[in-house]
This record gives sequence, structure tokens and C-alpha cells, in this order.
Amino acid sequence: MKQWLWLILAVLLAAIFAVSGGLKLADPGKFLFDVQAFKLLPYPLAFATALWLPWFEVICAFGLLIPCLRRGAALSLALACVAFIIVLALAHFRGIHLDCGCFGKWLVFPSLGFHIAFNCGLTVGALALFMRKSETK
Amino acid sequence: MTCCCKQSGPCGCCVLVKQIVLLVVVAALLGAVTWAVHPRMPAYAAGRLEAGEILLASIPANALWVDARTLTEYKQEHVPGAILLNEDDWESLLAQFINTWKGQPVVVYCGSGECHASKAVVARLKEYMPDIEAYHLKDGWAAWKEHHP
Repeated sequence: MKQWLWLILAVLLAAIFAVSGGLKLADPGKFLFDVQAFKLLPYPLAFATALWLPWFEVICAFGLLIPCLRRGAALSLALACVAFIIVLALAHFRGIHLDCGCFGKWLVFPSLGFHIAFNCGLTVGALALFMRKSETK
Repeated sequence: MTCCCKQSGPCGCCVLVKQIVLLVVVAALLGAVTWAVHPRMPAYAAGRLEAGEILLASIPANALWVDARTLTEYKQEHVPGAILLNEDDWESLLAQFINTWKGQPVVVYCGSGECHASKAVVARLKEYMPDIEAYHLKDGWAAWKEHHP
């Protein structure tokens, strides 16, 4: 794949995660309730997640644009997406049908399938960026 | 520098771990700053759900909705499928509830976050039926209307 295509992939993923993290940072109190809505974490962990996760997304988004951090950021985001897919599925099987509110009202997923497919796409993109360096060694 | 995997110089794996640790730690530090200064981050205790409280987003799809407001408010508008159960006419409304309830989770709401009728109804339901899975909705009817204008 050509160099500029990799760059576009990195910029696209960075933009998605920066927006997702930035929207959460705008109202961390609301995100705290979103985290609690999944009913998977005890309150202290939910509170810590609400503070940490938005910044983690934003920092990793910037990491994707910095060559010396790209692989670590890409792997981190891929693992975060996989974890989120598991969380979505667990919540679904417990009868809880909810949107993460990751993109505010800009992007509301019509179904769990779309939501998981979107996150699978992000996971594949992040893994591709992570694997690329290994291939070029 | 000798790497943990005995190579001379840091290996790709160790570099990767260091990158991830750096990202995690920086995010944690910025998260701590957010807690300290962000005007929309609630104090630690204020963001916690009370015992038996449930968020609108967490409500199971098969839940039975119970309206703990007054009959007048219920007649004006209520959550689709909700049945009325309040302390004004407890005995007859409870009979209606028992006829409707099929063992599914129950979500009780009243007017707003400040009202206590939903908590009272949940408490009385649990007196009658200790095994019932009953919750009171955080912010009550106001929360519903916010999401269903």
C-alpha cells in the first residue's frame, strides 16, 4: 500500500478517536452516567473510566500522527475497540440496549450490528497500522 | 542498554510496551486534572447512582413501566405501556399491577429527580414481593421526556 494511503488511514482514525474523546471530555458527567448505564463496572472504576478513557482516546489519536508513538497508539486503540465490542455484546445479552453516546447526536447507530461493525472497522484499521511497521522491519 | 529479552538495545516489544505505558499514564494524569478543574465533572459521590436507582439507558427492553405520579398526570401523558401505581389508591392499583406483572423487571418513575413517590412505590413493592426486581428511574418522567420530546 502506498505511503499516502497509510497516512490517510492514520489521519482518519486519529480524527474519529479525537472527536469521540473530545465529545466525552466536553461533558464528563454525562459520560460517567453512560459508563454506569452499561452496569458492568463498580462505581469507583466507572468514575475512573469516565475520567481516563476520553483522554486516552485523544492522546492515542495524537499518537497515531506521531511516528515514534504510532504502533503503541494503534495497538492500544485496537485493544480498546475489542474491549468495547465485548462490553456492547455483554450489555446486549443482559437486555440492555444502548448507544455509547460516543459521537453525541452526530452519529447514532441504528442497531447493535451497525455499532459492532463500525468498531470492527476501527479495530481492523488500527491493527493494520500496528502491523505495518512489523512488516517493514 | 540491555533489554528484558536479553537483546542488546531495546527490542520492538519493549519499545511498544513503553509507548503504551506512556499513553496510559499521560491519559491518567490529564484525567486527574479533569477531575480537579472540569466544571461538568460531578464530585465523586454526586455521580453515584443510589441503591435501586436506574438510568434510562440501562432499562431492559422487557421492563414493566410503573407510573407513580398522580392519576391526573398519568392521564395527561405517560410512558407507553406504563401502568399507574401510587399510594393514593394503593390497594386497587396494586391488584391491577399484579394482574399485569409477569415477573419481568419493574421500573417506577415519578415527576422528576426530586420526587420520592417512585422510591416509596419500589419500597412497598419489595415489602409485598421481596424477590421483585424493581428500580426507580433516575430523574423520573423528566428523563423520559428529555429523550422522547
